[in-house]
Amino acid sequence: MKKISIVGIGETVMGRHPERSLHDLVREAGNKAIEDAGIDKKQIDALFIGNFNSSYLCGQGHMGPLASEALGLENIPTVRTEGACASGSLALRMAMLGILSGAYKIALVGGVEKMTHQPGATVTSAIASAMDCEHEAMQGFTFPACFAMMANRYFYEYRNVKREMGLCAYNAHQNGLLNPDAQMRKEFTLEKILSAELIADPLSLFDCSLVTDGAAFVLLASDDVADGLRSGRRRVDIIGQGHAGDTLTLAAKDKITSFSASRAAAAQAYAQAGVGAADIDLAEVHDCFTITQIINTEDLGFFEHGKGGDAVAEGITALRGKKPINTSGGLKSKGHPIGATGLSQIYEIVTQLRGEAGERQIAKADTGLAHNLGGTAATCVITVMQGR
Amino acid sequence: MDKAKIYTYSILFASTEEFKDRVPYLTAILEKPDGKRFASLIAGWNAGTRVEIGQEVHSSGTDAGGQSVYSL
Repeated sequence: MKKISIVGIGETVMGRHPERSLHDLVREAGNKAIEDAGIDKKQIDALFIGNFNSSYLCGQGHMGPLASEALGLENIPTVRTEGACASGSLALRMAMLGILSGAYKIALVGGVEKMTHQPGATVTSAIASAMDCEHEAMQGFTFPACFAMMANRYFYEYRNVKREMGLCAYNAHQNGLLNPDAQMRKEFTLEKILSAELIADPLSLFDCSLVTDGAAFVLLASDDVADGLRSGRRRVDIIGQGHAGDTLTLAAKDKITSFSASRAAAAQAYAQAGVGAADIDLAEVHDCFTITQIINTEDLGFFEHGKGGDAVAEGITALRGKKPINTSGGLKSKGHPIGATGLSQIYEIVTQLRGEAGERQIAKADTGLAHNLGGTAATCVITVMQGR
Repeated sequence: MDKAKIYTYSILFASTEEFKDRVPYLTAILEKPDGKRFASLIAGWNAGTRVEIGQEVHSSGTDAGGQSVYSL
């Protein structure tokens, strides 16, 4: 594949920003990415923006022009992408294809979501629209319930990993403590995590990701354009990407303890990149729930099926472990601004590959992977990045 | 009587606008004898009732939309 470089990144602090508008979040993160790249706005050929559900949560549709106006991008073409929690990385995917086709040289890619101003049940309803409404939401399913059902099935097929799920949350919060952009920078003991109230049995409060306001942007450029930009720091290329889907309903999936969309997207991404699971130094994986993190690390080939929990217990996935997972704090601690999440993951991998992650910087960061999942694993985008 | 087995399940303690007044309640993915699976809210669950994968449930009528309602 022709190389595409990530030449700029920018994001807001993730958290509760009830006083800030969608425009404001986009303006901050978008301008940061443009300034980080050191390019003139007039060089940007197109804007792709991921947004899950501002129509429901904010009464705001038509997010493409909203973002381009906020950023002063005049008449460039804009596209809003929606693929539930994978909306942000779908924007990245579409921008990649646009550059690879030759249509564009420089594309701005963003994601934004504003959620915390709504009551909990309203947010739960907004998120539930990402599952099959008629067949599943109307049977009382919620997202926590769907992933709780996966967890119960996982316990049945392999073993009970509730404690290891708690350790995923513990590690996420430890990493988030070191990330200035993280929403919940608090330390929690494993005992507190394991004794928290149940949301959807067996998932308790700390097994669930956060409700977050925030935006994240990256600027993509074709290889030849990136060659002409300012140097002085490590260049990060996208060397492989995969995108796959699966049934919208959870009930129709062949298996619910391993996601075929993840496995298919991973196979594409690894083949294109010419690397394997063992070559990945660090990964941001979609930890919408702690059980999801365990399943994802198995689907990515880091660990055998049914063994992801063992890896967590052995410290392999912790910040200083052999396979650091979610050094940013993940969706659990950094936050889950749904439409922005896929790009918030890319932000972390680029920061680590550049060697700019400060206290949470890992020692060897040459090749990193971002795994972003939409719905009950109905959409998956996986991106492999390398520093040079 | 129409029967199915519990493929997996969860008991919810928080829910959407539409279902929040019904918590706690039991939802499941059920499997028919032919292997077909589907989502279903399960009636007849009370705190402390034992639920497990593989357990048999039965159809106890239909809801307002004509769909089968399953009970423990």
